[in-house]
Amino acid sequence: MFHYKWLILIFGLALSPLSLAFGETAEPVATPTPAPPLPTVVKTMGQPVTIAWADGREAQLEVSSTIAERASLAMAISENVCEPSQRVMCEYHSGLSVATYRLAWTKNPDAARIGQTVRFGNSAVTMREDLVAPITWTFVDNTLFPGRHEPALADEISCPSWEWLGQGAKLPTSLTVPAISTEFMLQNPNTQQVENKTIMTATDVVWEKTESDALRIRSLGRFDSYISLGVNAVFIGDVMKWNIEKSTNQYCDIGFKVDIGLLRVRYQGILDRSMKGPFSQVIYDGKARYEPSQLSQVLDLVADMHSARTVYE
Amino acid sequence: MKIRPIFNLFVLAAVVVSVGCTKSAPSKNRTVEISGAPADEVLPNEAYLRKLSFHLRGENPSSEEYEHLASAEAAGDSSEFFDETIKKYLKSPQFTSKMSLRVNDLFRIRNPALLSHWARHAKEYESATQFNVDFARDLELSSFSYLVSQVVSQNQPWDNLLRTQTFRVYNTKKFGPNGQLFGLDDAGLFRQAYLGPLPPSRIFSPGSHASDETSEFVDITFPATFVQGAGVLTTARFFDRYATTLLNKNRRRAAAIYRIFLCDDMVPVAAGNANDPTEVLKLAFPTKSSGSGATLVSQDMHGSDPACMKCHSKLDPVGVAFSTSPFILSARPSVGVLNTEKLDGSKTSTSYRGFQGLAQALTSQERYSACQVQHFWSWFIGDDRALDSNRQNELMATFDGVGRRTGDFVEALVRSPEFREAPSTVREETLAELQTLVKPILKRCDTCHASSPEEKIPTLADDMIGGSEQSHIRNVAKISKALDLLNGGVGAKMPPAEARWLLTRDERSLLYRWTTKVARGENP
Repeated sequence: MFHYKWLILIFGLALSPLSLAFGETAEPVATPTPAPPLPTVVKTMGQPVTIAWADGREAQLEVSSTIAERASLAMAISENVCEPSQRVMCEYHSGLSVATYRLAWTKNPDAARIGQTVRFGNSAVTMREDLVAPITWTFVDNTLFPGRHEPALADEISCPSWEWLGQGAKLPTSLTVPAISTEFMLQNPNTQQVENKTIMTATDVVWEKTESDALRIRSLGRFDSYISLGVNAVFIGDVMKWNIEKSTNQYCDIGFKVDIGLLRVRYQGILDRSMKGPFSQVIYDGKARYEPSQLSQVLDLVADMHSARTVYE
Repeated sequence: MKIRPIFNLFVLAAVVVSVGCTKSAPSKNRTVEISGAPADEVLPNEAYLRKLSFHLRGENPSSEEYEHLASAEAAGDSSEFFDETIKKYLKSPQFTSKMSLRVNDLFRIRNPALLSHWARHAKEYESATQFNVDFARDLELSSFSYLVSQVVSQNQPWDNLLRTQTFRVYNTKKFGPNGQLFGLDDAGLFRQAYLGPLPPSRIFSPGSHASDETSEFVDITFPATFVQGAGVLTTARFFDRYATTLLNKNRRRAAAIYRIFLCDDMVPVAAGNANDPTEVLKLAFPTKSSGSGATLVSQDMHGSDPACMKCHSKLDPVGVAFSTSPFILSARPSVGVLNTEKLDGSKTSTSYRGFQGLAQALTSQERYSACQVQHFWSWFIGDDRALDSNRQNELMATFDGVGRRTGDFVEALVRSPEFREAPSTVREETLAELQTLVKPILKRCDTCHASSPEEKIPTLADDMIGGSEQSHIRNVAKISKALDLLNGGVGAKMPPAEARWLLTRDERSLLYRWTTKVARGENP
């Protein structure tokens, strides 16, 4: 799952001159000529992806190894129309995968900077930030953007009992949930009133029984969302509804409250670890997953932040 | 010249219903009869032309049209002129636009505001006026508006608003590789349910919406066997306007359907400030004390309270249609029941499957036909002109007689004696008539007040409250204050929450007119 700030950065990329400069050629690509000139992106098949400045400095793109974990979140059944008497406390194990890209100096007048993360900032202020781009993805992202990421851990649910599903006491080998929805507070464009509304639906979500008697998500048909800001797209809001088919054309709802605050805490922990590396070179191989979703997010920092006052050190 | 105030005798029917959902429904109980206007009380031709133009197009007739009318009158026959003019107006884009605005109001959806980048579309229309720019943008972007415009401009049956299985959607670049949607629009709404080929998906890229050159219209027609497409019910604007939650269970959508198509308003049984849902929430979620504080006794009390069930017996089985489609349209139909009443008050239940089944169930109701006639009557004759049961029956027959075609029925209305009647012929209701109508409401008040004699409140439904004229005037003023009639009931203290009924807007209007007349010193 992309962190929201990278969505903003992609927006910036679409409008940036650098996005127009990307190409398959091994030649450094000329960019428009504001002063000072933009650094260039050098992509040579089989070689590390490199950024070159006009003053001779160079940095290369590196990526951390992927951290893939499941964050266990309390999941309470708040309403059960399918089996009204059945309300148990379950755990939702949200799969999270994180990798961090960074730019590291390979040529710099200050020898001590070699191998260090490129820092950028405004020449007028002393604060500098590392040029890094953490990427997060989940099972939903893998479904929406196949091939863009490494495989993510699938979400799981564990419960002390399973009668609440309305399928009997025994956990079914496979369970298809016609629709899973979540809610969020948004303004109704017609009434201008801020209200709770369903803003996400994942349809035909297939769960399979695991060896440890849990449910693991296997596939989903479609995913539609009004917004996409969650760490795990399934949890845009903390109210989740499952629509279960009881019999042909007859449906019932089960509502859950999920502790998504904990998800954000766990996500931050994984993020912090990922930012520390270790990092390895990104070798340009022409594969789609480097182009442009992840590579560009780092490179766009260069382009997006670039101005006569931008410094890189 | 006096215009008769809003006067709805269906209030009487609503009062009889007692508590729970009250109907602003088409009713056979209207009693005020206004016969066809005598010849000398018919609008003069110029006034008739002006009225036609404003009602059908929303603007003045042109000077040429006045001149043509004068020529026709000079030739001794203006009927041919009006025949041609009415047909011309009904075919005008302004008529389509005006009807679209009326339908937007009926659905309580916002009329689109001007977006500057749409101005570039002005060149695509013959007359690049602001009217065209706004209208075109609305048509282009909204399947809802396009559907309404088609029904009106092509003189299609009004039922097509509910029944059509053909939609035009504006396919934007919002879709990702798997067709995932970010933001709700009509193409996204249908993508899950529609099994046919939609245009190739495009990579989602935030910010790309600013460039819509590659966006395109897509016409979608569901096969007859597919029951999930049903006119305006399955458009993004309806879904977005009447959003749902786990708690709401699509009741808001169901309530809109009852109000719009059956003129059956669902009013919460809890009284109090309309802007403060506290009383409703108390009823729906009674709390009890526990060691850890207040907890819910039950997640949902709807279904166990008879007063609640007056509405929920209708809302819940219709909300079921949307159970698999909380956010976008699902390919999976649900089965449910449409519970309503015939015009004679007898109950009727119709099973349905999927949205199309619901649409068919709705349009086959007698109440649907009466309700739509009432809408057209309000639009073209006016709410200040009561529609009596006989006239309603006549118009329902006319509605069916023209195949429920929109333009044809509007033509029948603008040719009706009521449309051509000079305003001065409209009679103002008398105090005696008002007194008769408010009595059933005041009897409801008496059910509580009569049982608390210590408060020394006289019987409110008496012809003279308190026995004398002075006492009557004084008590009527108290009633007006307690109901906050001057402010539309915003600060009403009566009826209290425990009374379990609310005044409808029409009842409040009726009471306001009655109290005003009493305050003026008119005698019953």
